Parts: sequence; C-alpha cells; structure tokens
Amino acid sequence: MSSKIFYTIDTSKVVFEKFEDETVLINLTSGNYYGIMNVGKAILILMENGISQQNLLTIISTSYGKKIAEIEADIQDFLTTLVNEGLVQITDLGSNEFSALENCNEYEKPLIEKYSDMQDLILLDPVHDVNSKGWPNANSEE
Amino acid sequence: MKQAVNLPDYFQNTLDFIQNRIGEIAEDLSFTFFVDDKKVNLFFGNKVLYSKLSIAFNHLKEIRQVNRQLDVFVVDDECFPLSLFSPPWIEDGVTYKNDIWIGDDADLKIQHYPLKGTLMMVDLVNDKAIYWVKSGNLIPYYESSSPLRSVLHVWMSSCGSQLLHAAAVGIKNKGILLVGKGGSGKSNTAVSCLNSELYYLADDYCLLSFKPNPTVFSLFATAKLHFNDVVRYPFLNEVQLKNNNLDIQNEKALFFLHPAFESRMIHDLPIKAIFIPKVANVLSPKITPISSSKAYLALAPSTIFQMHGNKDRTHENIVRLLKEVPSFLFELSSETSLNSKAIQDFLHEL
Repeated sequence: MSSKIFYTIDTSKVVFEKFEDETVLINLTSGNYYGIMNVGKAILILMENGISQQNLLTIISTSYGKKIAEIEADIQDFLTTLVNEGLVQITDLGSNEFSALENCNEYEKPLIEKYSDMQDLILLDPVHDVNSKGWPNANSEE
Repeated sequence: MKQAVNLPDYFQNTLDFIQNRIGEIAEDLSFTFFVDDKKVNLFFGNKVLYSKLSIAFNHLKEIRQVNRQLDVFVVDDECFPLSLFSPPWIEDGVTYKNDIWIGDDADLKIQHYPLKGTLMMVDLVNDKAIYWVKSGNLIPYYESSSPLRSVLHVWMSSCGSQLLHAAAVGIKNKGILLVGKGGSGKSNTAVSCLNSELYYLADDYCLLSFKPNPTVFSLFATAKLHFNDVVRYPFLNEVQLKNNNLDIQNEKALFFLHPAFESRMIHDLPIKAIFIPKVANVLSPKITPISSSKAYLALAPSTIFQMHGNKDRTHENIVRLLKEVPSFLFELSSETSLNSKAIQDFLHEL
C-alpha cells in the first residue's frame, strides 16, 4: 500500500449513489452495475475524500478495530476489482484531509455484487455519442 | 468518404420541406394529445403512420391547460415522391450495422438507429421534431405499444420530466410504480388491475414529474403480455391486436386498452410507493419494506440504458424519487386477482 496512490470514482462514465445499506454504481459504458456493501461503502467515502491507499487502510483499521494485516488483502482485492471494472481510476492527486468515519460497527469484508444483465442492450445496440462537427463519426475519446 | 454534415441546417431544411408538403396533403392526419401540462401535436405523412403511431395516445385527448407544446412531424420515404429524408451521411446503404448514433448538442437532439431504419431529431429551442422511418409498413408491432418514445423522452426531459421503465397503477390520489426487469411481473400485475377497482396508467413506460411531489403520468394506453399469459386475462380478448404473423415464442401479444378500459384509466396519480414485484407463486401476496437501493437497482439501469440521452439526469431523477417514496418487495401470488386486491388494500390503508 502506498501513500502516493489515490483513487477517484470515474464520474465521466459512472453514476453512483449512497443509500443507507448499499452504495450503487452504474458503469454507463459497459452496462454493468454494482451494489457495494459492508466496509466497501466506507472505502468509497474515503476515496471521494482523496485519501491515499495507505491512509485508507490505516483509517479502516483504526475505525473498525482491526489489525492492518487482517484486512489488507480484503481491501487490496476490493480496490483491484473497482479498478478492473472501470469504476475508479488511480491518480496521484489527493488531499488526505479527513477526520473520521462515522457509524463504524463490526468489520465486514467489502462486498461488491455485479449485475451484467443490461449488457445485452449495450452489445445489441452500441451507442456512439457524436457532435455535429464530427457526425457521423464517434467522439474521439470513445 | 463521409462528409461532415451541418446538422442544424439539415434539420431546418428537412423541416421546411416536410411542413410545406404536409400542408398540401388533403386529408387531415394530425393528432393532438395532452400529458401533464404539455401538448403534443403529431402530424403524419400518411395513413399507415397515423394508424400505427397514434392509437396508443387515444386516452390523452382531453384538453388541459398547457405551458409548452411540441410539434412532431412523422414521415417515411413513401410520403413524398422524393426521398429527401434519408440521412445525408448514409452512402450506398451503409448502415454502420446496428449502432445507434446520438447527437447531443444542447439545442438539437438527434438519434439515428440504422438497423431499425429510424431517425429522430428534436429542436428543443423551437419545440419541433421530426421522426422519420424508412417505411411505415416496416414499423414492428411493438413500436405501436410505445410510439415515439425516444422523441418524448428527449423533449419531456427538457421540460423537467422523466420517462421511466415502470408500470403504474393506483386508486384515487394514490399511485404506485411497479419496477423491475423484463419477466419480473410488472405487466402481469398491471394488467390484472384492469379487472379490479384500481386505475391503470402503464405496464411498461410512464412519465415521472415532480409537482413538486413525485407524480406519475400515463403515456400509452397499451399493454403487452407473453402469449402464454394471455389466457389468464380473458377480459382482454376483445382488445388484442390480431396479427397472425407474430412469432409467439419470441414476441408478445399487444393490447390497445382505449376505449374499452377508459373507465379504468387515469391521467396521473401522486406516487406513494415503489413496488418490486417478484414471481413467488405464494398463496397470498406479501408486501414487505425493502431498501431504496434495491428499488434503484430494479429501476435505474433498465431506464438509463433504454432511454438514450442525459443519463446523469435520469440517475438524479430516480434517486430523488426513491428518497421521497418508500419501496416494497411485492411477492406475487399465481392468482392474479389476489395481487391487485393486495395493492388496493395497501393503498387504502396508507
């Protein structure tokens, strides 16, 4: 875990919302959508606040009363999944300004449920956003 | 080599041409309907288009006070001797397979579905739209169940309203949305309400508006069911679209509900709850509270990916709805009349 690596939710292609029991995310490009539960919700909050990979681990450890060695693999796996699913990006910019997580109960391994049933729509009818100058060519960033 | 196209000019030239030529058609093939505080004037280029794409709006003819109105010109290549309306960027029949091309300029929204042979253009400044199909005769039956959906989604969105992939039913002053993927039981539950004291607003697509409280509006007086399910609703027999060419394994039976069920239909209702139906085949249907996140997962992805356009706004509208209205899991009985009765009892007790 590094103090120079930060994560940011890729809002150019992801919409998300924090509900009480679950944070939900939709990858608008792939068509996959996700429910994130347990400590995963807290990790997303820390990401939003620009906390580094190393500090994220420390804060979770402190907030949930667990040794770093006990949780490091869980958190690393979770972060890797988020990156691989195109939900978050790795960046070198962050603030590390964060006071404390609220309502931390028992540590429960971060859980991500993936739903792929909308992919058929995406694959069946690929959508290209275009602009009037580039029509009918897809935008260059696609 | 494809040429870049000046889309505003293309739209205006095409609109001018269509308006002039439609004015020359002797028959009056216009149709006006009202939804919420909006008026939509449809101008059809021929009878085929009129018959296929207007009937779903028959229940919305009652005149209402209007704050904004849209003119939609619906044409195909058979309307006019010259085929001027094929998109100019298509050369030699090139269709880019089945890709959808969406132009998302602020004032002019364009969606081109080459495989379906449709082109939709909406001018949000002047409230004019063109909906072009290659041929009205090629419009599939299911387009008649929710016609001009892409036009309405784009324009209604600019008015602050939101098309939802949801069914809707209710009693006076109290409505519910039924949300979920295909096969979850939305349509069956909504249709069963036609044979009850409940009002019917939609089985698949409806309009959400914040007035300021969440309110659902009916858009299409239609219903669709798997052919296997039709036998459960004999009261629908008279209003079923008879079409022997349908593939009953892969397609659905379509029903036009107006005027036969006019007394069971209502223009709009305040939304009091979100139900997520689940085919459970229990003896007695069961309604239990469920978190808003589950309702989001049942409603948002299918709405966002079916309604092309501003996905962030769709997401925001759905989140706002779910924060204002409680959600429930609705475990369905195989006895459909019990399901509609359960909804009725639930709403009366609210």
